[in-house]
Amino acid sequence: MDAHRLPQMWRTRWQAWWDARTPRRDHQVLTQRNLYILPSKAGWGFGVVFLVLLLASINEQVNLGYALSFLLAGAAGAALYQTHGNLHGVQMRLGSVRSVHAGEAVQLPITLINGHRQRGRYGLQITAGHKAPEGTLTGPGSPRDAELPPGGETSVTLEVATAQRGWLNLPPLLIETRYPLGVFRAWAYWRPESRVLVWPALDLQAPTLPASGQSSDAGQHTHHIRRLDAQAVDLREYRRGDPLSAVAWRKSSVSMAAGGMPVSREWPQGKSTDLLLDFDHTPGLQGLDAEHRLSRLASWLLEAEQQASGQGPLYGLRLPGVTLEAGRGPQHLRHCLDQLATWQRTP
Amino acid sequence: MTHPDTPLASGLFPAGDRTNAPHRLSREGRDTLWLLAVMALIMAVHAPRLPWWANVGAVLAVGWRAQLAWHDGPMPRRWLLLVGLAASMGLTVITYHTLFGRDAGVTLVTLLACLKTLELRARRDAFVITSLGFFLILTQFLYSQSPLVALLMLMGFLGLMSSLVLAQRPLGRPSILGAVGVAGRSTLMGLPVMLALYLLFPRIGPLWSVPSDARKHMGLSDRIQLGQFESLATDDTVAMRLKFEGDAPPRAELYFRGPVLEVFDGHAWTARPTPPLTMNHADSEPLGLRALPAEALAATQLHYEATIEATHLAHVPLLEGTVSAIPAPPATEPHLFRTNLGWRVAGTLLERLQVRGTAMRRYVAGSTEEAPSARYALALPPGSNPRTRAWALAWRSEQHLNQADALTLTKAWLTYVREANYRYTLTGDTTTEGSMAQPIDRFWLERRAGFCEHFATSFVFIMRTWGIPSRVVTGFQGAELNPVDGLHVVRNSDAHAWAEVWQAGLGWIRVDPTAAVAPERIERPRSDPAARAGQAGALQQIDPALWSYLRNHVEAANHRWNVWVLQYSSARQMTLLKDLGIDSPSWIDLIRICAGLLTAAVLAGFGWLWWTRPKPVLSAWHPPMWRVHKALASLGLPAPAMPAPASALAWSAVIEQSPANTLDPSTKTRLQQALHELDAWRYGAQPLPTAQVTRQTRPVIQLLDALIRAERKRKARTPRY
Repeated sequence: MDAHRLPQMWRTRWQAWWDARTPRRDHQVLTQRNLYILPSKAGWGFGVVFLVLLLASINEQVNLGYALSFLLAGAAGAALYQTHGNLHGVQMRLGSVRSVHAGEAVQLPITLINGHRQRGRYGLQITAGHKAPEGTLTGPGSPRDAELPPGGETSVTLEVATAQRGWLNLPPLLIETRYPLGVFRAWAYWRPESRVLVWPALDLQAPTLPASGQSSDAGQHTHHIRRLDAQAVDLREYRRGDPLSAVAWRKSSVSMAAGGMPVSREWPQGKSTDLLLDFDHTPGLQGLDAEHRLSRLASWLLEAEQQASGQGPLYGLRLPGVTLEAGRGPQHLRHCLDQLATWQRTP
Repeated sequence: MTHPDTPLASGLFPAGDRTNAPHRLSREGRDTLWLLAVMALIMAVHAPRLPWWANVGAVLAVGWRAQLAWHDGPMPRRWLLLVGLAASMGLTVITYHTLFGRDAGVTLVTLLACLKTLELRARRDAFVITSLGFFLILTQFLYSQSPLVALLMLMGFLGLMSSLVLAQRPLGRPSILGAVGVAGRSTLMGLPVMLALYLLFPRIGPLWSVPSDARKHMGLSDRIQLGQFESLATDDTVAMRLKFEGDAPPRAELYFRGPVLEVFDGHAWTARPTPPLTMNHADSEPLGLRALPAEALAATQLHYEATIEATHLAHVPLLEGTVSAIPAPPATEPHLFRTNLGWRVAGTLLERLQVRGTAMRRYVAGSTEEAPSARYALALPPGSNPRTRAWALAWRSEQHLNQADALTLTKAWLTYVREANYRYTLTGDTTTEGSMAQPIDRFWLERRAGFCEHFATSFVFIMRTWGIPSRVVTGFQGAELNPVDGLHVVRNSDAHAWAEVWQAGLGWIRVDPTAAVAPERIERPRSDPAARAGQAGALQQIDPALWSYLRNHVEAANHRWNVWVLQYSSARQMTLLKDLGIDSPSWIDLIRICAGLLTAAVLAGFGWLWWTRPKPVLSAWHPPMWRVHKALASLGLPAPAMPAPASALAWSAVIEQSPANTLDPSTKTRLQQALHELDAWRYGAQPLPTAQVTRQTRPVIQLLDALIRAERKRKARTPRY
């Protein structure tokens, strides 16, 4: 058998066993089944101190030295149970997780619930994913400290780094404590069930939003942006919510002088005036690889939404195999970004 | 070096902050100060034993760190600590000529702990500094295991533990008292384990011998040099305790025999070199008691048990005339040997020892011994104390005693001392070194005032001048009865020196020259030990009865502490096992019981975890609603789409919508009524108080049960299609 495959095989089996042992869920209760406890590094040091004290007591025949050593051992032994009890019964709940662009940190809001009415939980520490090096206080992988008063609850927000677009399985969360004496470390892993959709990274070098979604050489479609100062197609009565810039002031003054309502301009929707961002044809995307195109499209979508919330044109998105009609608003933007995040080139 | 008072540091903490606003100690600063206070408590007990420079260094280091903690100042530079470390080691070597002895080690550990505080951050270094603290506590016990020290160190222990707890709580500003409470809880929970291990962990002897320092000891000495014996009388610590079977002999008879000093080199009296000991030594040395009729012998026998503190000598000071002595059962070690009419152990008595002894009263010892060799009992260094020698020879001629025997000469000398205006005093001789070159001349002819040593050595010197074999004996004289526990207490201040002369045919005869000068020193208990020691015995002067009452109780408790805590040994472990019903206990039994108890402790821990587990908070409505839920579900009705147990109203809806033939119509109505009643009680305008829920709902539940039972019977009767 291949020597390299054996560890790999075991690793896979271990992973499978581990995953079966810690099912993904958004609400976790720490019990005997998922809590682990071992002496901490300081605890091993404590053990050495105990042995030295005991040896000295034996050698010098100091009875109070025996008493001291055994008192230390007894207290450490009690701490084993207290440390375990400090996590036992703690409940953890994951709040709603918002999508972010790749490269940004996902914020995980976690609510910790004590569940014990007499005992507080102290010195808890929660980390998401790989632990950052000692002393890192912010950013992904930095631990968060928490305390729970008797019967109370508290919230912490963890950060998870993202690298690429697509669905991200949240990394296992580690909750640990060494309270009260620090000689034992009790910990539990929690794999949240929720996934988070990571949008493509923003392209910081993206040129400004093209005036037209269509490159000039792809001539069969004629999408143009209708400028505000271009001809106003329709005039209608002002309705609440029309942007001020859409009000045709001169016509309105005439209309109001006649005792009527102000008049607003109206542009026909979903027609040639809309901005259609096209994966294949929009100018500014040529010569880029697929991921880079998606990044640039993501940046443009944000820009387009910003314009559209003013008096900019509606925007749509076309990816090979998918076309989203023009629209605007956070829902629409989210829909577009989600498409970018999940799009796969079908062969 | 960045000193906190340099402009840089004061710039960081503007003067306005310090003077106007009340100083708000940072969390880290507060924890550091607390840890420093605990360490200071632990180290303070060592202070009298440490050289002055170590004390100064410790105070400086801890004080500096405390100041830094107060202002959150920057830590000192590392090189400064290295300089401090080098200086500590250098001074330790200069003071003790080693780094490894006990005293040197303690000095060094104390200084290391102080230096460590200078780079201490309470949270990060909590483990390092508390470990050092535990070592320091242990070193205290090497010197003293008194209840007071134990209490102080217990406080120190809790303090160290509370520092660990604080280090585990990074958030907020947890109270120190709370942390002490948590530490105390852990300690209390660990107490059963500690007691079990303390009682049952097999006690084995030292694994290897460490070079033990010749410790400065008080009390018994195997060397007398006049002018060097003064601190003794002020040392009121206990040297031994005795329990007599039957009546105790009068105080004047209580001589406890220590080393016999036969060799005089002109300055100091020392013991003669001892021949190597053999196991049957005690049997081979002639007892030398004058033959008495057997009945008389039995009548004068005195049985006693003595608890003797470590003497740091081979000698075990037992009552004079002790003819047999064994370690008090169950102990069998160490073996006691008789030598020079006294008792000793093979090595050095470094531990407290309990001895069961039998002594003869009114004995004359050594009568069968051969005449002592002139080499020891008559030898005087030539040219030593010539004026006393001249005086002695002249005086004997004057008194026409040239032909007198030892007893006659002794009586004449004692009479002379009593009449010639010699004084008994404990005040040391303040004369210059020069006149101390001939110490007996100085005492006998010039100062004419001294204490037991002076009288005893002068007596022996003069006797030897006259050709009478004689020697100095040291030990203790007198004991004080503690009425609380009935024990006689001998203190180090009872240390005494007397003499023996050889009379052919009679043997060695005890002569106490001090008794001739100060008979009260021998016959009456010391009335005022504290005042004699120069202490202010205020309470004693106000209420002597209360004083002695308190003192007796304290000492009785002390003795119990000694016996039950400090003297606990493998022998006692075996006794304990015997009491527990094990016939021939061995250390394997100890390990078995230890293992069993530890297993029990582990299980008890699991029990505690289970007992204190978070329990879901259930409403009083939970149990009755479960009964309803299960009963209705057992009828085959579909459970409402909500977490079980479903509410009464939801069930009512289910019943309402159930197909016509599932339930008997009258049952259906009554079920509905009962469910509505339950719902009204629970969610109605006037809900039932929680305490009444179980009682009030019972009839409704029973009704429901009955209906459901009837319904089941009906269904069983109804033919199925």
